[in-house]
Amino acid sequence: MKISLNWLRSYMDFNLSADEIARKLTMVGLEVEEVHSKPSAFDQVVIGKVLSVNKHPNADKLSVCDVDTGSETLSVVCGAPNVKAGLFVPVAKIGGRAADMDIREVTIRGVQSYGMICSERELGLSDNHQGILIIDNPSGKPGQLYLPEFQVPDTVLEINITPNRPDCLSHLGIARELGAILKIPVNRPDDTLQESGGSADQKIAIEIISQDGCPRYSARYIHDVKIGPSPAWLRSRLASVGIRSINNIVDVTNYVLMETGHPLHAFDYDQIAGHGIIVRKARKGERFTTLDENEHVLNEHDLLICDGERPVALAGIMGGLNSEVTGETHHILLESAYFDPMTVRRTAKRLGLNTEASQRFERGADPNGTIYAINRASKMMSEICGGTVYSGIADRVPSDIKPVSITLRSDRISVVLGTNVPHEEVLTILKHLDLNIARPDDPIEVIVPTFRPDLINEIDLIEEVVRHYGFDHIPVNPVMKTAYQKTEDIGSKNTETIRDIMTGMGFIEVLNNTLVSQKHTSLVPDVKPVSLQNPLSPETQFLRTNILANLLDNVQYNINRGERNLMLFEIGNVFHQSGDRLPHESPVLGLCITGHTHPTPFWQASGTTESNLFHFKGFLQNLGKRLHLPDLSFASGISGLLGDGIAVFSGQKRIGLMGEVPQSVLEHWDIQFPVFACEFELLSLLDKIPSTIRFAQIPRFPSVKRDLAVLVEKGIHAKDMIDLIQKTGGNLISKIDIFDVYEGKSLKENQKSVAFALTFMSMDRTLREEDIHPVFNKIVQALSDKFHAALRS
Amino acid sequence: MPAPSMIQQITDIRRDFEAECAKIHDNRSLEQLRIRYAGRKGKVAELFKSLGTLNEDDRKNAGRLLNELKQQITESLAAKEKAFSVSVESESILDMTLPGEPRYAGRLHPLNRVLREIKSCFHHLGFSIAQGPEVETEYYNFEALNIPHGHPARDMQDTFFIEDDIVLRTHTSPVQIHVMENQPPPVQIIAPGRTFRRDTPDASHSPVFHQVEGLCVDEGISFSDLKSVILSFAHYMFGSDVKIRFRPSFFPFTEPSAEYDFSCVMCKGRGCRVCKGTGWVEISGAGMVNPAVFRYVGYDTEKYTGYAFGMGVERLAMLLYEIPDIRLFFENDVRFLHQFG
Repeated sequence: MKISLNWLRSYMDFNLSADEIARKLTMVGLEVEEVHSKPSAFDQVVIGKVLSVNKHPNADKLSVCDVDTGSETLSVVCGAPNVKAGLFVPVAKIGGRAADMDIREVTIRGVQSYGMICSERELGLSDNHQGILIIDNPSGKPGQLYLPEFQVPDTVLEINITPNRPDCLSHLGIARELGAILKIPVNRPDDTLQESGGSADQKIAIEIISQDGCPRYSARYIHDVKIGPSPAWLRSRLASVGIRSINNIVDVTNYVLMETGHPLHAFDYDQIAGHGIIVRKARKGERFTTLDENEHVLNEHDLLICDGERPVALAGIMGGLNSEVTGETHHILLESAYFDPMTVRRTAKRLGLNTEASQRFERGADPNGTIYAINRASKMMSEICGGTVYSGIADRVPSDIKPVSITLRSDRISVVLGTNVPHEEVLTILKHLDLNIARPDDPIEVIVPTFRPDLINEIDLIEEVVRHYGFDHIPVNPVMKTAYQKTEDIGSKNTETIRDIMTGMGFIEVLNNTLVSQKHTSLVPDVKPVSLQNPLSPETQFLRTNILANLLDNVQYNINRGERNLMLFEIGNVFHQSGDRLPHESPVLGLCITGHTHPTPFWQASGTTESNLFHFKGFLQNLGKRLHLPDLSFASGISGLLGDGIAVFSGQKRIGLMGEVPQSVLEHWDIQFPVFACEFELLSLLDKIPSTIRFAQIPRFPSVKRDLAVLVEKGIHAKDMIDLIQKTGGNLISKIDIFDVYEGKSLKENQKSVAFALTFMSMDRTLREEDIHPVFNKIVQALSDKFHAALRS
Repeated sequence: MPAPSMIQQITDIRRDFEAECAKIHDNRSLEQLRIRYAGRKGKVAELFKSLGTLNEDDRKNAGRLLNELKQQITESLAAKEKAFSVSVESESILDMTLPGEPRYAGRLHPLNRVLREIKSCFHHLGFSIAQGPEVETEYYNFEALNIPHGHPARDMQDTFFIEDDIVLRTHTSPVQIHVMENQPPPVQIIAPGRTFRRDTPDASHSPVFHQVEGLCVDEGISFSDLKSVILSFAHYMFGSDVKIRFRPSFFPFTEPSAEYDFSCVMCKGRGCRVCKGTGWVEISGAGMVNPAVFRYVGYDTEKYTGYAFGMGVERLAMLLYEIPDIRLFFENDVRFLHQFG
């Protein structure tokens, strides 16, 4: 909302800087976002007398004028058709400003021009650019500054009005708040007017069919107006708050809107069939063209203002093209109504029409404000447009609109704010806000006028008090009250531990958009992604079903910027349709690596080795170790996210999937290097982390190492052999490592050699050869029986 | 073992040691030499062990000689070691400006780094952590927070819809409702999480962002308590010279509502580009829980009062690290990520 300080000054006396006003308004909740000082729309514009007009030698539509500007005669190129010798015109001189341009000496089609003769638009007075402005009765001689009285410098505040304060969408509303801040009175402009001719009730019949949608409809009849441009002061006022002048009638309705906040609409009375107004709901499929020349298809929720035959306005939003005031209009039907906020909002939103009127009605206009606004506008129309205001107001109020009464207890103010506000201070604040005090003693009884639809409960009044009392006056409680601290959620604590482990291993944490394209969701073919009704773009249409695709985005992005060695992870939620109302939503830990296993040190000539699947698996095993997951295991051949992926188990529970990202997937991301990736279901992972850690006895007796190399078929899994060795060796085997796997020429084609380093240990004695030997033999025998393993000599 | 043989051995060891020691030119060889001669199982120690086999006179004599040898070896080793350390400095054999073995350095995302600070602060203040889903029903995201259907306040937050009544949460405030539905007062929680608004991305808007919501409800909780919590937070995050300011504002779920500002951390309140010359930077919203919200969760509105506050993690991170563009957080350029964590 734009608020002109000059405009405010017409209601009240204050002598504060614009910045100070802005600060004070901001500190009562009327946040001033910008302070525009408007020096004047133009600068160094002087009165000039056109001495002669000659055709431009090189352009048909241009002329070259000699203009007397007092001290000198300037040669100015002009394109206006209405320029004539003898006229007085505004001339912007070199070095001045007009039309938001700095005026310089220019050459137009080969002719030098030493200034600009201005139109109204170029002076910021109106939209009129038909021709140059002609000064009818020059107030001074050529050369004097052209400075109409309304062209004094102004400051305009851009105020962010919160949706609960429709009353502040006007200059009088802001004046009321400023009055309460400065504790000074506000003078509302007089609305008493001369009435004559017939009565409004004879000229206008009103029928409200939809009373829910229209609790009040007031109208006046203004006879024989002269449509024309508004006086300059009015145009200038409207311009200062960003409203273009249309004609004097429409300008008056807009002026009163900006003054009182109450939207008005002027109809061309002769276009109202039957001279009657009917307020009703639209029929489904009914069509209506608003005055912006757009046709709308309506439904049964939309509220229409109709004449005897057809709709003439979309209630509270915009008038119709068929009944708007034009140059031909003689008589005015002036509407000042109160429409139901929900009804206006629903229609305005659906049709995408956000107008000055709809904004106010949907936040809640003042049902009792119709009268002041219509009188004020009628008075101005009679003064400015020469109309005769017929007596009376055709006013239909189907149901009485009563003010709300609220009880305000002073001890409740103290409970909520934590400080006492002096009783007198409370009363002063409420009175300055134009709230009526029915009982000044505690508890205070407040009657809330209908212009404050936001004040319903006691807490609303407490907010009013503290707004003007100031939060600064509430002390900081030195003894902070705190509750008993419940045990912190173990899950989030362990999640942070996982972040620490990942970063400790050298991974960089990334955070990606939840909203992704189909390219991302199609990586997980067997779930239905969740789609948005109103995405910003097709690239952000779905909720992510996996984090891997995001990680591939990051890999591609960084490789393209020259960083080819990447270790990334992210913890975040993924989603898919569940069949229930809410989609399935669960957190995952995604990680990936690409590039070299280590950065290359200077003493190593060539690069270090490329990452491979087992290098990557090492990170996962390390993570498992740190999280005390003793039984992390891996099983290949699970198709899905990672092609022929590898499932990660903890015990019997599958908690994740890892593998090398298939070539077919990498192609979609234009990634030329192998990427290894994994996704853990975070909750499954967290679930497996033991909640307690118990001390285990540290061995006191030395251990003994034995190597064992066997030849087996290639298809035999190391894990199965290890399990068998452990089972056979029992307590005496404390550790089994694999130190060599060999396939090659010296072996048969389907054979491999696997070498184990076995550690034997006992918790109660030093093992001797005779303890180990039989166990070792049993292991060899067991491997031979089960896997046909042959001891390698 | 006869005594002369023992003495002979001592002489041999001394001769061998001197010869070997003269050839030593680096610390590693010196250490090996030390182990071989003066170590726990070194040549001198071996001889000490065999002293027990001698008669008393021989033992005394040999023992004295052995001790002399030991001392001599120790001194020679020390002298040699000292010589090496001096020569390194004087001759610059080692160029310690060469880089050490490089390692990949892991990093925490700056948003999680800041979030940890926030959590840590409120943990100290006695707040527990609560979480809720990112996809919410309209009831939790709006209605129970006193933002009824058709209320203009819904326009304050542009919303992504999944179904007509299912949305991506526009704030973490719905977690308030879940928590209060499931426990009676007292309540003292923060709810960190990811939130969504249908804003076209630019330097200060991202459709995905992160919020932390705080809520405290009990008997006798007042705005004065809210001020003390926000002040503690300001001091924890930005230092104890930061001032706070509350400006009246409007949120349907709090009343009175306020925006809270910190004195500008860049210019210490003097006025700069970050605070647009005002000396204050806007942080987020706060206020006393609107009794209407208590009615939705069945709390006694006369008995209990409470405060709630919000904050944007991106906003705080941008202030802390002087990051100019919110989109940088989600681009995941490792050159960006390497600067934090």
